[in-house]
Amino acid sequence: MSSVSTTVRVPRWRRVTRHVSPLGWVSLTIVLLAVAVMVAPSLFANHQTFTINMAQRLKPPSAVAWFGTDELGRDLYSRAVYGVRLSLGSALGVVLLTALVGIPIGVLSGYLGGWVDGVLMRVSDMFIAFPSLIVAMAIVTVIGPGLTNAMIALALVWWPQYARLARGQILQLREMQYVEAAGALGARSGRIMWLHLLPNSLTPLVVKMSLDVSVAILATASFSFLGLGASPPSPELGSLVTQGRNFFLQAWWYTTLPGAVILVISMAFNVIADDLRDILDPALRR
Amino acid sequence: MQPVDMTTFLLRRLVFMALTVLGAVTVTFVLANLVPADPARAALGPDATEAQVANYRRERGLDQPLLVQYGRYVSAMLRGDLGTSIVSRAPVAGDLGKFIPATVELLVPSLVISVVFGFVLGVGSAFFRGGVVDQLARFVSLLGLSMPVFWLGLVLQLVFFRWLGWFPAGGRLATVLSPPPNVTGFYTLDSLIAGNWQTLQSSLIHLVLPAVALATLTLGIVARMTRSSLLDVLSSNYVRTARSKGLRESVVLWKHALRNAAVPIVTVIGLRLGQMFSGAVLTETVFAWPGVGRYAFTALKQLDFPVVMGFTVWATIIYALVNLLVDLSYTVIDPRVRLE
Repeated sequence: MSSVSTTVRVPRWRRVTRHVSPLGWVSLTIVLLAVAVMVAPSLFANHQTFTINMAQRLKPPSAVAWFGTDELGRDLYSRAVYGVRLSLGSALGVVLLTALVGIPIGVLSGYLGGWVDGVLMRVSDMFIAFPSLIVAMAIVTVIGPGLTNAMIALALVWWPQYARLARGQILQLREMQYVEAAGALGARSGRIMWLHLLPNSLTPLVVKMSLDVSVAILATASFSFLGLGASPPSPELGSLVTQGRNFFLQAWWYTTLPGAVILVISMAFNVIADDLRDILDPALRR
Repeated sequence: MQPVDMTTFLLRRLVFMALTVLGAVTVTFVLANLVPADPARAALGPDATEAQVANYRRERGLDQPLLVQYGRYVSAMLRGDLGTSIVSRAPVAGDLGKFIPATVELLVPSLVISVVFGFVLGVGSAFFRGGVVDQLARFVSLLGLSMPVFWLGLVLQLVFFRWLGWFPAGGRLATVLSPPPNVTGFYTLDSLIAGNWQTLQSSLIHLVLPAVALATLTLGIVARMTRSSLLDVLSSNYVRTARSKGLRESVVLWKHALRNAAVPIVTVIGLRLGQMFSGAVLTETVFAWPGVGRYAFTALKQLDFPVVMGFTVWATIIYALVNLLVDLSYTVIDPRVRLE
């Protein structure tokens, strides 16, 4: 360009990144690291997670064993690395499963209306009025403890939140002219729901999913802590805290450090979800 | 929906509440009967003879068709009879009555801590928006939201019991003391009534760590909601008017803004109160607190389903009642609110 422009053009990426807080950058790094650990834990673990070494039992953190060792002399840092894979993986699983159950129900309910809507929404009202964690615990007890079953139970009690949100979106969008136009052009219901309504209702759903990752990390870890999720010798982070509980007056690192990993990862997801909401929802920007 | 008068509103809500409780009973009843374990065998142990097991089933009506059992349970429930625990053989309603005061005694200070600190953080961060206070408050509230409660409980025990020795690790009272005579079921109040300072002091220091652990999540939620709700109100026209007619900032904040920001804050506190009853399971487990959450969880592990069902019914009723109170409080906070 030869002429000098008087207005400073802000690049598109800067318009997004300027809404990310300094804490957000730190959190993004942590989340990317956690995902890398989840995908390829063997790159990060420096010891075998299941190798027993009784000579090294309950040793405090050192240059060799960063998180110390457990009662069988296993390296806790390496176990926590594999724990991140289990905890984060199952949390992401819970959120996806919940969304996959809840969103279609909400879309159907909002689009079809009538008695379908009435029945689905009364059922979801009821689920929302239950003490959800207790019901989830009861479900896990019945179908048997385990990480997969804990995920299923949480999805079973959480789907109404997604159904309600999706339904609310669809109710607004249904009245839009482009939807009416699609209908007038002869598009079938399935096509309208899938191609027109769903993509346009995704923003608040994505924000909700990002907020829920942290809730799901805490819930699955809590279930494992109570013995309803992963059970020993699994290195799932909540389960590590339980295993360390028996020794925690003599070996502070055993419960403290794996639990701190849960806190750091769930906090990082919360910060990012918070920033993401500001970026995706301009109405909330102030 | 059309605005309605108070009676219609209450009736409508009570009907929905009854349906919800019935739903909760149905779900737990179905779950209880999906368990492969035989409750009669579980209650009598492996040494019981077939005849004893059959006898037990007949006595308890366990040999009847499921629908009959369900009908019996619901009709007994309507009379306030929640059945008998398989493990302790005590009536469930009586057991709940024994354990509920301990949980309430833990919940009240916990709720006070989270509401007071959450509110102050939220107001401070909205008022000094974008500044250091705001950043700090955001950090603290996100920390509260991200906290694994069971882990925080253990860390508090490690620091304040093991290392500093300031607070006991768990329980409601020092083991050498005997509980005060039972009047309200709250050890603190009962100690006061009995005039026993030693048990009062002991029950108070036993409350500190579990109450703080249970408060963190709610504190974070209250702080965030207070901030965003107050920011909404502070940018509204009538606040600008109030400022431009020269009112002091403190008057604008306390008399004009906060009252209008209160509805979402009260909603979120009500929701949390309901959820804290089930959240208490973790805190009570870590601190060996003999409350209703731990009681229900222990029963769950032992497949003692009459207890689990009784607890679910009770928790659902409390949850619904709290929500009803929250909705009614709107009409007090904001006279424009109409009941639907």
